[in-house]
Amino acid sequence: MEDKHDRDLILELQAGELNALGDMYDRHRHLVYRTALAITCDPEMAADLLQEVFLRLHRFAERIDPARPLQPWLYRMTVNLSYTWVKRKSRWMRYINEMAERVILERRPPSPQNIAERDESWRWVRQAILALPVQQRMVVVLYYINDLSLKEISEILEIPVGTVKSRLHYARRVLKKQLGAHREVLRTVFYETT
Amino acid sequence: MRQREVYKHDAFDSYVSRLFKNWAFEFPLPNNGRRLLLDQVKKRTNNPFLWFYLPLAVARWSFRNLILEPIDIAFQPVLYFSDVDLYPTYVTDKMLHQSFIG
Repeated sequence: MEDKHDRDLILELQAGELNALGDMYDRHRHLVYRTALAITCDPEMAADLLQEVFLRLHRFAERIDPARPLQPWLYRMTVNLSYTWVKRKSRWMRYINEMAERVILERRPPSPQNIAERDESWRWVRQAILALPVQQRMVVVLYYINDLSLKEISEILEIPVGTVKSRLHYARRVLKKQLGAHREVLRTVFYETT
Repeated sequence: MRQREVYKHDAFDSYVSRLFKNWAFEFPLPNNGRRLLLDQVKKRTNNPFLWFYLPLAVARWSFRNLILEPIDIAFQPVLYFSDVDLYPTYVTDKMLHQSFIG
C-alpha cells in the first residue's frame, strides 16, 4: 500500500475498487480525525466526520483530479464539514451535551480517552480552542496542528493570504490570554509524539 | 501602518503547536474504522431504494429549520422588568422615556 501514490489509488477508486478507498483511509485517517477533533473539540463527532469525509471521497471520486494532490481536498472537506457542524450545533443543544458529558464521564470506566478528557490540564487546552471563533479556529488548527503554510491554508479555505494572517493574528491574541496563565502547569504534561 | 508579522514563527507559536499536537494525540482513533467505512459504502451502493431517503432528508430539514430554530430563537435571553435595578442607568432612562413619557 505504501508504494502506491494517491494518484494510483484515486484511479483505482474511480474504477470501482473499494480497497483503494480503504487504503486511502488508512493513509490519511490521522490527518482527517485530528483536524476534525481540533475544530469540533468532540471526539465522537470527529469519528463521525472521519467516516463522512471518506464516504464523500467515494461519492465524489469521479470529480477528483488524480493529477492533483489529495491532501488539500481532504483538508477542505474536513474543515467544511466541521464548520457546518459547529455552526449547526445550537446553544441549547451544546448545553445539554455538556451536561450529559459530565454525567457520562463520571460513570464510564477509565479508558485512554476518558483519561485525556478528565485531565484538568488538557481541559484548559480545549477551553482555549473553544474560546476562538470558528473561522479563526480553522486557521489555527491548520497552522499549528497540521503545520501548513499560510499559502496552503489560503488555498484550502479559499480566502486571501492576508485574511489568513489577520485571523491568525487575532487568534494568537486570544490564545496568549487563554494559555498564558497555565503555561507553567501545561509544560509538565508534554510528552514526545512519534 | 504597522506590518503584522504572524508568519514569523516565534517561541509562542512553537509552544502552541507542540501543546495542540500533544492534546490531539491524546485521543485514540476509532477502532475498525476501515471496516465500518467499507460496510457503509456497500450498504449505500447496494440499496436500490436510496431515493426513499429524500423525504426523510426533507422532514429532517423542516424539523430543524421550522421547529428547532424558532424554539432556539424564542429562548434567547430577555430583559425582565423585575430586574430593572440591575440595568445600567442609560437603559432604565431609555425605558422610562419610551414607556411612560413618550
